[in-house]
Amino acid sequence: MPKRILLERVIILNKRISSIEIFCICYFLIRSSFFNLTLNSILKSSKNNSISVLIISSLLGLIPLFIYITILKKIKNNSLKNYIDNNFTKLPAKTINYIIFISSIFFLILLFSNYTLYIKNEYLEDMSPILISLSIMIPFVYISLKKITVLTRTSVILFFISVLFTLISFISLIFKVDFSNILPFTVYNTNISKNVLLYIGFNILPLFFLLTLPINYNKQNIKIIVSSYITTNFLLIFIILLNVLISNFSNSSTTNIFKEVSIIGYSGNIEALLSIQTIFDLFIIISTTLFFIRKYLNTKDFYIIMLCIYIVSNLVIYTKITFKYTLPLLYISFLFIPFLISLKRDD
Amino acid sequence: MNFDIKKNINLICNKFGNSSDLKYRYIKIGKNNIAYIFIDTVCSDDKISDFVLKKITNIKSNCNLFEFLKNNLSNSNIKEVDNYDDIYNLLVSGFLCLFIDGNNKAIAIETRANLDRSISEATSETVIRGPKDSFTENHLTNIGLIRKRIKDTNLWFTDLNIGKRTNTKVSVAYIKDIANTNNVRKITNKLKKINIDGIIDSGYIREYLNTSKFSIFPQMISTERPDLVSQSLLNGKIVILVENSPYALIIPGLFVDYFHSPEDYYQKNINANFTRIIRFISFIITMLTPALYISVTSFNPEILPKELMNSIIMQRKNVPFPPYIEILLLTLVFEILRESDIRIPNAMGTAVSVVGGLVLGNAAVEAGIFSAISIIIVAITSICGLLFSDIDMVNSIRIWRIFFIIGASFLGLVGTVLIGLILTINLSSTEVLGIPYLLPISPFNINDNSDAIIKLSIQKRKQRPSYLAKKNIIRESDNIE
Repeated sequence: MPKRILLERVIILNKRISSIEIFCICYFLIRSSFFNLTLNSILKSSKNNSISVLIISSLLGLIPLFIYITILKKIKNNSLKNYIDNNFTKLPAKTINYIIFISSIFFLILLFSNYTLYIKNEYLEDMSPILISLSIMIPFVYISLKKITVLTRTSVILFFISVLFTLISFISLIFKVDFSNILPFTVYNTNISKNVLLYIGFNILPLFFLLTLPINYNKQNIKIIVSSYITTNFLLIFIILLNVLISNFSNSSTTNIFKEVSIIGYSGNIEALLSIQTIFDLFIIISTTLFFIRKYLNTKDFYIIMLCIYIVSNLVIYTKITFKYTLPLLYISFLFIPFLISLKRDD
Repeated sequence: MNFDIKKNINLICNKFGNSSDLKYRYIKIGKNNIAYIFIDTVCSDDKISDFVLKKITNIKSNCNLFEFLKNNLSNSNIKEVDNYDDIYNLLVSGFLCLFIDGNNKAIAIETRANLDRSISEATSETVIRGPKDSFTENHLTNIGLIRKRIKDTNLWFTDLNIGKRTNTKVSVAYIKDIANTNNVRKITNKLKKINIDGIIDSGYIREYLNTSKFSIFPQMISTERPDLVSQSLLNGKIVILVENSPYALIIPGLFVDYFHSPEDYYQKNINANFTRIIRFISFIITMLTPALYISVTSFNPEILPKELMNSIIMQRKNVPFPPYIEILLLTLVFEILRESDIRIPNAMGTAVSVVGGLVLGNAAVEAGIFSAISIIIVAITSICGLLFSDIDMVNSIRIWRIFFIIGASFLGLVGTVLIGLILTINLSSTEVLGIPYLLPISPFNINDNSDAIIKLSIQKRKQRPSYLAKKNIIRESDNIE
């Protein structure tokens, strides 16, 4: 049997995750917060400079990416929690694990409340957020009963649908481009650095959750992670570019360009249909975060935490508290701490 | 066993409750007393007369009768039996048992009557081009139909008898140097563990072999086509044949397999691929159309163009039910119609279709009970659902469609998406013999995708699916190990 085929077979039947699954998870982790958290903020405050924001962020984002790859090499088949427990003395290990755990919970609350809010605003305006969040919780409870390979396999299916929807949007939008909108290239008094931090925080740092997946550290998988990073960032830059080319920022405030989508003259508003991909994005990132948290808890505690997340996210749904405090926490626990871990020599 | 033939015959008669179809006769040949016994309903009178009685009546009395008969009877299947349990089993299997005075053994001669129908055309999996023969209730005929296609010594059949009362023969077929023998062992062990009084059809075995209990989707293909079975064996799959069942079970049955047809391999690639794409589109239509209709009419009308939405509103003006009740009622009516159409005799089928489909549908719209658009939606959904030949797949689609309708009724498009996510998780978590159900789509494997959704040309399909075939993964003959 050829070696390559044998390797694929071993990966599939030994429940390790394959290259395409790694690619898909990276794709979703990067783009998950884009449409509902960062896109509008970046476009609103950076206007035509948004493209520069994304290019700079993508380049700077390579730093955390390589930190995670270094950690991936260190932890091998172990979990991050066990690696920290084994390689740090008792108190620092406990503190680091505690900070990472708390930040993940905060991030999860933010994502979950955003998910609820997104569905309320886009699809179910008249429905109570409590009912909406209760309904969207069902797939999370179901997937948390399964193995992590189920999540990665699900991500592959959702990836294909997402790519199809993205292509439909692009093909439709490309005819509405007005190249004169790209001018002026740069706009003064726009907050580039803040938006760079925002993009890295919500779109690049979630790649930290790759550490929860059973990835074999080898050249091929690292190539896949990097190629997924580049592809997804290119895609997002292209979306920003389309936004800039279609919306005239000097005349109007930011609009959702997906409202302009029409298929072969079909004039219905299919934006609602195409926005489904945002549900997929959020589903994958929340599930990955849940799997990450599960490694810190036993089964009973895990479901208690899920219930708490449900309650708290409903309480904070209309406040900006989580958004304000989550970003610094993300930088501390998903950038600074991993940086320290990557520097640590193995015992 | 007893040396006295009368005692033996009496014992057997008592065991069968002196059944009316149990026939026996005593014959005296010289000094020897002979008795034979058989079950009339499962034996052929002609065979008994021609191959047993003619020989017995021509015997000279001075020889060792037991040895002489054992060696000289013109029959290919003769057994020497020394215990009553075997005698009982052989009698019910169509054997004639011969007792000779002074011997505590018997000779069993196969005189089985042909109680089976002849090989006929497949009724549930018809094809335009390709072989027309199908399995019958005869176990040996079924094995023969496979052997006829695969003339290879590595095609092995492991036989088991299952069912305490029916003692049904079950054969596990596989190609030794292709199939994964671990999987064969797993299946055989599972079959051995079956503790049941009777196996009447292969459907009984299916439930015992299902590994993912929470998955509604079928995990093994039930087929009456020997060509499909042969194709599957060559791919490294395992086949179970059950005595008295015209349906073979192919394991594992993965999700993409239900979108394939044996006919795909008998026609041009482009046509086969077009048909496969149509099947995938039909799957999506049949699953989602009612749910999407409910979503756009009840929750997200902005998705539709104004003209279309106005037309729907006008059609629904006099309908007393909300869209989800309307769809659920119509689905229920269709399912009742379908079920009655299957059960009633063929001659009445057309009348039921006309009354149920045309008269009832038209009258319901005119009476303002249902809107025409709802009838169109349910009709399209149902027609697309009938594209699949596997009844278990059709049933699974039906159940999931109802879940989608319920989801859409409560949450519109969001409900549909959430049910879709649950379905995807369910399918992703299903495994058959440790093989992911969604393979080769998820986990995506490029090598195995030469015959998943799109079928490549035969020159490019040199490889057997790597998750099935353990050895000889390349189909070409010079690679056989």
